[in-house]
Amino acid sequence: MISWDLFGAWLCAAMVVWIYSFVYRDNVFYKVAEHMFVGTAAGYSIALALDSLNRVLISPAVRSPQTFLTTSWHYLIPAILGVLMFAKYSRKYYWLARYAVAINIAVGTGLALRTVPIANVVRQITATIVPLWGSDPVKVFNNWVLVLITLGGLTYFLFTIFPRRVEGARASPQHLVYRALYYIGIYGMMVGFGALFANTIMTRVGFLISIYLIYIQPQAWASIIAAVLAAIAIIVGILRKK
Amino acid sequence: MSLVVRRHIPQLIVTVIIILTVAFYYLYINKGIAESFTTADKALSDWAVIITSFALIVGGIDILRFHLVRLRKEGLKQAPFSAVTIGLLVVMVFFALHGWFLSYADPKAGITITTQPQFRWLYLNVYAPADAAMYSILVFYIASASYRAFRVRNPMALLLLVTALIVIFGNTTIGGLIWPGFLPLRDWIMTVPNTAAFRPITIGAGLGTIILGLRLLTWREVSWLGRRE
Repeated sequence: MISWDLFGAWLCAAMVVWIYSFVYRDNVFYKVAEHMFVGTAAGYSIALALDSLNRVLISPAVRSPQTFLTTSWHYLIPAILGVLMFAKYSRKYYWLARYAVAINIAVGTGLALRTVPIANVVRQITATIVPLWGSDPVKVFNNWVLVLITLGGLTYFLFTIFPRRVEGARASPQHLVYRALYYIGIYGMMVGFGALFANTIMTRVGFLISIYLIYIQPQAWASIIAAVLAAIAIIVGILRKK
Repeated sequence: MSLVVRRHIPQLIVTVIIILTVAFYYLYINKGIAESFTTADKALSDWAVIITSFALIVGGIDILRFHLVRLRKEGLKQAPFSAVTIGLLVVMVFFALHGWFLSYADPKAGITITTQPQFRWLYLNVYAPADAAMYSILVFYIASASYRAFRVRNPMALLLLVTALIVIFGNTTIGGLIWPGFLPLRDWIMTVPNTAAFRPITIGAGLGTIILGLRLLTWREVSWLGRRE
């Protein structure tokens, strides 16, 4: 007797194999897995939305209506605005959806404007103000590298004001400093991108290994059958094109 | 309806909320005002959660509409796939609603929207493996992209290649066996040049966010309004 758990494990293995089959070529089983993913993802996001609505709005209103009406009545305003978002399907009243979007955009921007100037700008600048002379040569070297690459990167991103070299004339000291920092910035960022690239590869390979161990290895036969089906679909697809 | 109601009032709402949320955060007038601000701030965040939930539902319905149109208009080549998407979407939402109903009808059972058994089965056996596979499939594309990127054509590409190799070897056991220096070198790269390289990008992103906020505040940013009148 096939239990739902066993069928689920087979389905997991088949889904993974069919999605990976796209690496070689698009085929009917990949399309099935892809559309299953889209359907469940959309259903899952709707379910999560219902869950949040239930937690914040509906459950407090149903379980203690008196308290809700005295303290949280204003939650009805975003609920009404949320319902108005469906007006986007109307040609005449589509603009009603803007009121809800306005509140979300304003809250998001307001929150960002509180944290971003400190975290992204002030803290980054203060963290770059480090001693460039001292008794520990390693620390001093690291600080120089840190400051020069940061300044170089900032120079690279200067798109408006920078010292230009007049054609035919000798380069000014400002221009030379600018060019030096510019190249330090580029090379520094190449090191950063190399590290980012390596970390991305490591993360994705780690995912690949865990997928193999969790889904494919325990259901080897299901994976092999799914792979054979995908291979047949690919061959049929190639033959049909010919 | 006039332009004021269609465009200017939503823009005014954006301006007023941004000014209030930012001003009361940075300015301290007295304890009473600060406390009321904290309460209003929490309420506004909840407002955003409620509106985002509706937006997610609208997004789900958009997908449903898109596939319903395909089901009606496209032939046998596409219709079965759209039917699969629609079927699974409807089934997921049905089980979620069932879990919602049970959470009120039988609270002792402890079943909620996301813990409804059939919903969880679909999540664990269809959504989770497909999501992980879609995420990890990129490794194959990275492999082909890295072949193109790592053909050393200039000193910059060489630097990128060398850094990537050091970080990869520093992260793996085999790297330590080849040369024990990979690990400290990787640590140094991650703490010094890597931090310095991403600092200007972080500052740039921060300045960009501030400028976007100012553009919204001064009504110069209008893309969020959607279609033009």
